[in-house]
Amino acid sequence: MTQHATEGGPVHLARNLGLFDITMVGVGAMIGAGIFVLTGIAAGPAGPALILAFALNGVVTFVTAMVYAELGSAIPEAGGGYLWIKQGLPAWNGFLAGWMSWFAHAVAGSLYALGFGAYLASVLAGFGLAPSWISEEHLAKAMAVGVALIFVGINFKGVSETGKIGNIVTLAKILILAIFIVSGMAAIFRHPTYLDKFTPFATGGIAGVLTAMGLTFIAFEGYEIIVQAGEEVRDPKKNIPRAIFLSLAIVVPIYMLVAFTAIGAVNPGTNQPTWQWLAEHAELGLAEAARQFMPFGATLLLIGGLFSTMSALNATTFSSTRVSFAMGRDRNLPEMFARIHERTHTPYLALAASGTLIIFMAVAIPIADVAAAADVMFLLLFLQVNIAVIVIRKRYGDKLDYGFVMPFHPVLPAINIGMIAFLALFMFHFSTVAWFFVVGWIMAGFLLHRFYAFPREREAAVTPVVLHEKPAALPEQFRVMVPVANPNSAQRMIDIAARMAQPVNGQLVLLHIGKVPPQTPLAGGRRSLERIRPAVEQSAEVANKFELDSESLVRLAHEPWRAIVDTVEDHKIDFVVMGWKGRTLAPQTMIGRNVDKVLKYANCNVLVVQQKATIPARRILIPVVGPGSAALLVPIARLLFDESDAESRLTVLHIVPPKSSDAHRDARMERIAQALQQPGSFNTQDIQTLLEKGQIELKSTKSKDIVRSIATRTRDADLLILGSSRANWFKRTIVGRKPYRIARRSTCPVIMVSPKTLGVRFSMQTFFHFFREEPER
Amino acid sequence: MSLEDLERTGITLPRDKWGKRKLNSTVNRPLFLAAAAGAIAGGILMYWGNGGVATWVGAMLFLVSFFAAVAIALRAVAAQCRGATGNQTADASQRASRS
Repeated sequence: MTQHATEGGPVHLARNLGLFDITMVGVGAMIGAGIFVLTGIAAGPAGPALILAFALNGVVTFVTAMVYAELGSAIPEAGGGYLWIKQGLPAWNGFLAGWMSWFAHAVAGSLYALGFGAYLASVLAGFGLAPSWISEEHLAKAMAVGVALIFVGINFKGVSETGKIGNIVTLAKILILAIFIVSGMAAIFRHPTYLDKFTPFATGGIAGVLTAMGLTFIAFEGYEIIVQAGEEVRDPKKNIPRAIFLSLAIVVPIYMLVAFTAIGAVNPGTNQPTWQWLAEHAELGLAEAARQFMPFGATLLLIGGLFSTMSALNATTFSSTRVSFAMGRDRNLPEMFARIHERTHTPYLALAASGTLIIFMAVAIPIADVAAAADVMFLLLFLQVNIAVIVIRKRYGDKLDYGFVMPFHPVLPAINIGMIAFLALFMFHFSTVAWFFVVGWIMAGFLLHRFYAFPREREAAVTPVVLHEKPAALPEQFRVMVPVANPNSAQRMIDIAARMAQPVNGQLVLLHIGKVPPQTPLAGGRRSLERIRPAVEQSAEVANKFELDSESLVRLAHEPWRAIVDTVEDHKIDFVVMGWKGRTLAPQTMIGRNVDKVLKYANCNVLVVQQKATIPARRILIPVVGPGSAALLVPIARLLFDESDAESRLTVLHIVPPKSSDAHRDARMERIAQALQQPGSFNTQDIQTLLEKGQIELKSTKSKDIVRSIATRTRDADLLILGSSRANWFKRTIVGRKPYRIARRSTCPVIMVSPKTLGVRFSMQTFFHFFREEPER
Repeated sequence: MSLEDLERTGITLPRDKWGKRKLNSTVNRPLFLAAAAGAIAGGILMYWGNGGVATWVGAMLFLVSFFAAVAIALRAVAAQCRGATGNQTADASQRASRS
């Protein structure tokens, strides 16, 4: 039997890995094809400054490692970076991070598999054992496929087997590199003049060092695999950060010493500089260097290369599987990715998919450019993680149990974001094709998210509807929704909503919300349905009086605003009418927590009605900033206006700065009058009639203090209708949110109208809101 | 994964502890800054030395600083897991340096 994400609750892996195991996983992932294959290649652009490139990569990596240590200790779940980005950044970002991470790890695995194939083919050719009927290139590819299959099999058998084999392989290759370094050092100290080979040092200048950094960055990303295995680590709060730092402490000096030895101990025998000689031998540079100064050097290095590529392949198979497993569990990929085998407790389908991807890439794709693309993807992934650490600390910092907290937050991650972005962009200079791959893969990810992941994420996250009463068939209609908290106080809201719907024969939607405590799953809130049912019936009776199509539904939610936003989206609501007690005492809220959130996240027109408002009203004051707000507010005011009394007045007030000329003011008023008479509004004809009867008066005044001016005039009004723009958050925040200040100083009841904004603009606003959001209590 | 999901999987602190702990880093900031400055200075020396003595002094300085940074981070992990606050650690290190 197989455990499934949707059967019997969430799926978790066994915690089998101790500090040594998990450190070796990180070291094994880092000391792989990167150092063995890329040392020779990277020596070309950097020259002897390859040592510096490794050191500087160590600095960049150390800062990101602190981010990983902080988040890995606090959120030790399979998925690591992908999960944090999902937690800390908007949802599509999380999906893309997982998508990129999966691909990057799988491609890195392909690179290591191909590296293994090339080394083994070279060994076989050296011993004369290579079959003659196949070219060395094809033999290498066949070996790559074979070794990828073997490690898929090993990973399928389970974590402890993976850990033991990984530990042996990692220790073996550290030993070989240690022999390489010691032999090389001995050669250098026997011939002190060998140190002259390091002058000139940075032959390619700063650009050469940066190119080498970009080329070899993949050799530093292994600590990410430590957190990918977070769910399988014992005492993760302590062991994950320790393993991250220890693995870096092992790897960075080894890389620097290998570079020092490779350049210092080789004697090309001509006047050719050593770094050029290494660059000429490219991926076999290190093995050729070892042949010169190390007993059985080439053989040992080839064996080391075989071990390294194997352990790196092991680690990347492990990590790419864990990312796809986590994505399956979150329904970003088909849920079968989250299935765990009953006997081995490994995510076998995620493993099969990752193995297929590794083999496919190894066989079919030009590996050099795709490996560079994987590099850029790792950089972009780390960049997002550095942003996520800032957001997560801000939103959940006081709710998480950290094993490590990075210092100088958020300055340090901000500096790192700059460094990583620079390095990623610099890679464009190194490989344009890599960037094409990156952009292509990201675009494919966007499409997959839009058409596959997003609908499922939403389906999973949406607040459930537990009762839905509606007419048999409803045409596409103008829909006005009233969230009903209390049927008695909601009567006024239903009245207003009905007045809005009647002129266009629209529909009323009455939303009741079953509030579920945060610690209780939403499904557990179904019991509250019986408690809500009388209120549903009572408000439906009120709605029926207006002879309109009406619909009642009950949603369960931890927070009411989420239910309102979900219904706006599901039911294509045009207007939401919400009640407002009048003042808010809650800190950091404008009107009230739920209304604020609805204004932020519901893309429809929202009417916020102060509960003491009496409808219809005789004297309505409508301050307008221009023709646009007049065209929105006056038709709404008309619906709430009592025209039966000839003395009733609907006053449209336009305030201009004191320095404005009379001509300018008159022109503005003329445009406002024209806007009121333009067809298109849902009750233009009525407005025309009122204008003719003189019940709508257009006034203008000059004033410096708009808030005071309007507040003073509310003394002669029964109702104030204000427009509240959601578009210009900067102005609202910095200038002081005038509508809210007016509403608070008004002596008569207030209705605030917040218009729907354009889709793209709304998306940008919600994006900014996401980062500005205060921590949830 | 939402905050509720994290709460259900036992990753968050108990609700009654939310907002009650000040999030301080246990990393000894002066020492960490010194290590970072040492690493950067080491890098600059390596480049500037052009393969001469300064390059090797820079490399050594970089490695020493790097190991120091790792040691400071490991110490911070131990302190964090013991529940010490950053201020306590900093105070302790200041007391140690005075004595």
